[in-house]
Amino acid sequence: MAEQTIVSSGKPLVRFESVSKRFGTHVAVENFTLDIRRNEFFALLGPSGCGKTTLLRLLAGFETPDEGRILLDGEDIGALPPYLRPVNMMFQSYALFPHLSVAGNVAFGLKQEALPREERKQRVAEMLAMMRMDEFADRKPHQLSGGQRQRVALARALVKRPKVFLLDEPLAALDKKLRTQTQLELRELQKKLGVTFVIVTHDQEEAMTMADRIAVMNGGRLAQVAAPREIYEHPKSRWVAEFVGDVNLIEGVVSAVDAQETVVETAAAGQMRVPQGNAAHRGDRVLVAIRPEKVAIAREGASAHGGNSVSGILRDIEYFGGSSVYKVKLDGPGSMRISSVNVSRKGETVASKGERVTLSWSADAAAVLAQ
Amino acid sequence: MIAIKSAFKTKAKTAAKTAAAPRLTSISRFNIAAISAGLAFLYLPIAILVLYSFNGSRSVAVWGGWSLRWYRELLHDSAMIEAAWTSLGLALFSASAATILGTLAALALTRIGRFRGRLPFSAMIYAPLVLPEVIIGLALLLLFVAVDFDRGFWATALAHTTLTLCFVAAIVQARLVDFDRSLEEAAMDLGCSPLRTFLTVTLPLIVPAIAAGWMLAFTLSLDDFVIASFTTGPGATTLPIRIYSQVRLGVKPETNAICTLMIAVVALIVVTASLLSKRYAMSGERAAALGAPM
Repeated sequence: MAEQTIVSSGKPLVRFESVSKRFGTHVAVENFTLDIRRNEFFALLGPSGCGKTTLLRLLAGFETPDEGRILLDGEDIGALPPYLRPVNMMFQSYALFPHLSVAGNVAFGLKQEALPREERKQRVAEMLAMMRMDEFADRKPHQLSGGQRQRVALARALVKRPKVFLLDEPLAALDKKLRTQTQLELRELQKKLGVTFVIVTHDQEEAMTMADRIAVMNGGRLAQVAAPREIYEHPKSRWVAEFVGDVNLIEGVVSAVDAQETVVETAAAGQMRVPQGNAAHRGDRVLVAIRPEKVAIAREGASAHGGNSVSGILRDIEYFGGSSVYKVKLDGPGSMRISSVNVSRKGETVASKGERVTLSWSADAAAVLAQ
Repeated sequence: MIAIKSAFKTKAKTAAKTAAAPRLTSISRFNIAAISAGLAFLYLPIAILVLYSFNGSRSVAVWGGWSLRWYRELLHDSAMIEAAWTSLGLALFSASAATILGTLAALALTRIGRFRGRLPFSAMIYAPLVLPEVIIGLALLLLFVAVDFDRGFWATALAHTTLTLCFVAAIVQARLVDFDRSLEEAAMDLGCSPLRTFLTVTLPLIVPAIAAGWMLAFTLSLDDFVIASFTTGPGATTLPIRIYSQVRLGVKPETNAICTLMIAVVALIVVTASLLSKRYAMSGERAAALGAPM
């Protein structure tokens, strides 16, 4: 990625500067440059093996970069061992000390600092109260539920008042309902404490709901870094568009470009008008990306709205309760998926399988991506 | 033979027809008989020895009523008591030395990743487990003679350390293999230097295995006859050697008494060690069941 832009307002708290890390012949992170701002909830998102966990471990100090620098508050921490970094981490397995009580676990980090006994006790008590774990202070980790153990792990790291708090797949061990609740709690906690959170996740919904900004990673490189909405609505590459959410991709050739619009000639949907976004030139082979929920579906003949429309045959309907996904075979080559909210409780669908339908979308619903 | 076979077959068939699966796990007559036979085979000789140590009669073969006479007599056998102290000292020293060395070896084998020569090293450390003791004893004797090291207490202590080290290494290594490394990383993340991490997190968690290893080493040293017979010298007679030399002159009821005491000590230690490791395995399993991510 040549155009890795460094978006920064003021001095960043964490800066990865052309960082590379290899394990044997495997390149985990390659020429990676990224800024993380102060008091930000930042997510590293990517499929397994994309290097996001390596990046977190580089920041925690469990790995040292082969090349490049890692700056924290402008200071190079690349060679500092983990126990000298003002950074704390919550492990995916929580890694609670089984031989210590809840209070013992939370106090563990403070005991390594030269703190007066009274202050240590007070900070542990405050943190346990904040995590609603004060009544479990004397229990051992194996006597707690998954959610409780996670709160102890949070308390143990946050009581150290780190400059950066790292979370490695923090919700992976929780069931779905608890996960949704914890997402909100983590976000509230971050706002309340004003600590910079860096979370690693492979779950795009998790990243979307919690993070202020997301770095999407692929194969050890940065694919895109932006706010969740920006990533979803304006993906910079085909890979990002496909990894984050569902997307229809239509191949075509750019026939005209002006200040507002790019016109793309496609075999599947004829001429498509797409608002100017990612730079494309006349004659470029490109992909037009449209999210399934941005497309309206109706029986053929019903009045179409928006700037673009295309016809096809409805092949399949997947019912999800709140919404349905329609699979439409286009008259041209290819097919599209359309997602539609089920507003009515009655059994009527937009159309039946095998019927001819018209798909339409407004001009600004689609984006042009390099092929 | 054929008749028995076919009878067995039909019996098995009817058993299978009625209730095959529960039959195998229930307390059937066959299972009771099997357990009794096995236990009798293992413990009958020992039981007789223990029983005769309480024999009031001077003759080994004739029962003369219950008595603690031979235990009292044992108290006046200064040679036997001296041998007992020698054995105890040997066991204490060699078990402690073997525990330190064995634990270090186990740590190196599990922690230093794949260093050059790791595989031969881990195979080599277990060699004394399978080598005949006679060979180890002879090899040690040749070594001590070659370096002109006096045979006696210290030579035997070193020899027992050699023998028991691999047992400690095996036990501690088994514990370290399923040790969650992220616990150590968490300790370092929270501000512990590597040494403090080892002392505050690793050591408390593997200490039951180390203790079990120490106890096993202790009993192995206490029991050993073969190696000690090569390496010991005048003035450092161990208990098994003392007993053996006494028995050669004829079995005295007093010998039964000292053997019973030895069995009691070893049994106590072995039971403690197995309880320690069992308790540990259970808490480990529980932690794993709770800690495993979905």
